[in-house]
Amino acid sequence: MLTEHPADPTKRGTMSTTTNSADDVARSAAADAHTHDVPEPRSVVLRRRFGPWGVPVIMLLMVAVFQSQNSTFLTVDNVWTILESAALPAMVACALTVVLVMGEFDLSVQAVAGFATTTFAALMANWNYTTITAVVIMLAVGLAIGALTGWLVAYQGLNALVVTIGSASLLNGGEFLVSDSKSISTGIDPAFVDFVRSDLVGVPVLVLIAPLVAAVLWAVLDRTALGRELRAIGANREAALFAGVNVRRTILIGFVITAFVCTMAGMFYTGRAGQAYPMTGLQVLLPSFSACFIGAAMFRVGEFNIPGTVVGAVLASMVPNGLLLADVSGYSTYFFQGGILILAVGFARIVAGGRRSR
Amino acid sequence: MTREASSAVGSGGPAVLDAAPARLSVDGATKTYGGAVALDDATLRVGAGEIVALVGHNGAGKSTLSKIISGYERPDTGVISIDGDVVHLRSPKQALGEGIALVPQQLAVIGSMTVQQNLRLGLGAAPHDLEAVAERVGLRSALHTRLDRLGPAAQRLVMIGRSLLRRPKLLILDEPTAAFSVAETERLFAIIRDLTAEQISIIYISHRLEEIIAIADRVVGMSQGRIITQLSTTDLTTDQLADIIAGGADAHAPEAQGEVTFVPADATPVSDRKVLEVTGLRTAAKAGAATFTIRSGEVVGLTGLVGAGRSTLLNALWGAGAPVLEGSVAVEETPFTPSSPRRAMARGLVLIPEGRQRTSLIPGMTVRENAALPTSRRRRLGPTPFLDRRRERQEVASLLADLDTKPDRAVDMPIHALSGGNAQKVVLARWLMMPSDVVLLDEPCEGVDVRARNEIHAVLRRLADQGKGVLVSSSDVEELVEATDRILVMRDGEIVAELAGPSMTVERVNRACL
Ligand SMILES: Nc1ncnc2c1ncn2[C@@H]1O[C@H](COP(=O)(O)OP(=O)(O)OP(=O)(O)O)[C@@H](O)[C@H]1O
Ligand SMILES: [Mg+2]
Repeated sequence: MLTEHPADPTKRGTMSTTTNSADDVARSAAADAHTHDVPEPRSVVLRRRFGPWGVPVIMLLMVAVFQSQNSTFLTVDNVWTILESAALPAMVACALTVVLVMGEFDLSVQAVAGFATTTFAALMANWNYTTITAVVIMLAVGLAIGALTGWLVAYQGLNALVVTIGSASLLNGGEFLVSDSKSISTGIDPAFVDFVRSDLVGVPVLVLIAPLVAAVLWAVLDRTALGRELRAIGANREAALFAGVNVRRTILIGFVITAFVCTMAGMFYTGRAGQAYPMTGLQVLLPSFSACFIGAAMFRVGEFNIPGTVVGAVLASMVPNGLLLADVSGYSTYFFQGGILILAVGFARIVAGGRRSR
Repeated sequence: MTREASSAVGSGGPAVLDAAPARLSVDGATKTYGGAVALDDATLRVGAGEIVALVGHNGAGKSTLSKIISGYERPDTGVISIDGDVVHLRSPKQALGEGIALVPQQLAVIGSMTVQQNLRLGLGAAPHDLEAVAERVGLRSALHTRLDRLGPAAQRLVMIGRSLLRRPKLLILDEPTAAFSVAETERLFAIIRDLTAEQISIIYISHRLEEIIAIADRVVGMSQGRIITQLSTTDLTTDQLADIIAGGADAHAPEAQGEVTFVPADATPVSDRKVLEVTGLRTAAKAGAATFTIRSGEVVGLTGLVGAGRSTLLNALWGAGAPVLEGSVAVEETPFTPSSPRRAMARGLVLIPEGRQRTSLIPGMTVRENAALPTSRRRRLGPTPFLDRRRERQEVASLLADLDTKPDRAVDMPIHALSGGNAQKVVLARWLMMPSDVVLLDEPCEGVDVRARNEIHAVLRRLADQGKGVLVSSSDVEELVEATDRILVMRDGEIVAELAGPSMTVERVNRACL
């Protein structure tokens, strides 16, 4: 029966302990009260069987189209370029996956990363901290940001969307504050810049680091008690509470993980760009959400998952690259990015069958 | 009631064709899920105004059959006809159009809406017979009350009313009385009898055998996806019914021989050690305050009418319900303040809560992950944070086998692929893995078949024999009288009676409830 698994990746759980989960029912009520306790119709089974192939097929089609437009698309060099540009967005997207898995939202991922990019540069350039000290300070700041967001959401019961929109704006302001609204280009440790831009055995170092971070997050979500509790909270918050999960603390930890990883990505971006100017850091808000939703249509269908997110992130950075090579005008990326996000959400929903993702 | 209709279809065979066609006939319906046969060549006739009960062990295929009849699921093979016309049901909506309505086992109502709004859900214009239907289900006076102010029984009746507004010819009720007490069941039976007088047919699914004997004209016994017997309920006894269910499951298994025995109440060594002492506990949800004691080694029952406040009390102790306003609790004779399930767990309390869909099952997870959730942290690979999945699988599998969970390879299946009763066993297994001193259970046998129910009662007795205190809340008084040492009766948040020894009879307990 469907009601036995309304795993709805984007659904906010409910803490209510009233006699029925009204919000669950309310969603289906609009459709038809009688289809609530719906055992799966055959079409859902078919979708579930063939749905997982949708994203790979679309990806192949896109590769074919881009290749037909410009034969340099599939050269070894360009593939590394795509992967290298996907590395940091993939890290942010994986971080976002953690929050989405537990049924929450975080719209501040880009701001956290951007704040880290600028502040990290400022620490080295304006305040003359050593690279190591600056890294330690930034990681602590990342933890603090996550803890504050998590505390507001989990312990104060504030809406995560609103809180993270607010904190994003604060962090944007903070970028101007720490940099004195000036571009920072000198004073960033050249050794760090060289390291981030270097290749290890012919592979860009970021392309090695990002999968490592993804692997750690995957292990946390899939192989530890904490990850199981995060998923339980996302799938049925009330049951998680009844099962003795410390729901609030776990939500707080989820936000901390996300902010921490975003901070890391932001610092790597400082090295990758070799300079920092407020609000010009990683542009990842849309692509990271796209990546997560594309991911929810793969592997563990209907649920956000790290491997899916990684593939989604690669797909999301393939598009601007392919468009560039196909000589399509620059602004069309906006159309494609927005279009892909909406398509991804729609597709995740189709694959997972109606009720399961929204 | 149309006795001649029921006997005509009861005899089956070609003779039926000469008489009026059956209201519903299913021929050779088969349904498989990825190779596993859930329904195997089922053939069924239901006459107009006939009440047919579907019985069988957990996972026998009862729900699958009713989903096929009501368009929620399409059979792999098989033909369904209504009043003699073959229909191809593609959706529940279409089935409703053909006059078949399913009232599923799970409550699907919106608590924040009024009874009237709930009744109208999914219907376009306001049905002119809404008041009549409300009258029929006994909710005429409550039309403008918010549904969450009424108990689960009223919510179930609203769901039935919603189906009746579609003017069905055949109504399927999947375990409607799972959490009803006697009074609510009587009301439901009155409604059903009313309906059959209008030639509306009923398919009734239940694990409560006395109910089946009381209401059904005919019993269809299922086992392992097959229909194994069809009997008229005249001179059928509950024992015979239990045999059909147990024998059908696996007649040769030792558990099926009914060797699960109960130690008589007086013989259980109950120590004087109070494992749980509740004094004047009042919650924000109920007026009365509860006082009672559970000692080590005893199994205590808790009953009362629906809405008496049993779940409120247990959830409050667990720290997951209405806040405690006053009163004190002592666990193992030291004070305890209920605050969260985690703290309660740490103090040796365990609660198996009511309503598994809402309060227990995690959709999208496997049976293993579901069962292991609260104990995850106890099963790690040495000092690493990683889960010992092999040990998890072994422990869960062995407990599920003890509880006779079907199918055998359930451990790695997604939780939604299990039948209702088997999912309940997963919830039990989850909490049996947790070390504890006090075990609180809220309707633990909801949706569980007779055999497994006996097994669960034996498990409770074993827990008590280990020195734990066990408190079982149930609306099934018979079950409590059979399986517990004494029974507490609750009314509006207060323990109003305690019955033990010879005074502990079904009749007396029922009287104390009112
Ligand atoms: N979606 C599914 N995928 C795989 N197996 C399924 C699925 N749905 C049901 N089954 C299997 O089909 C069998 C019959 O299930 P069904 O729900 O009809 O049992 P039931 O007789 O209603 O049992 P209960 O009394 O426990 O409710 C079970 O073995 C169950 O595990
Ligand atoms: Mg069932």
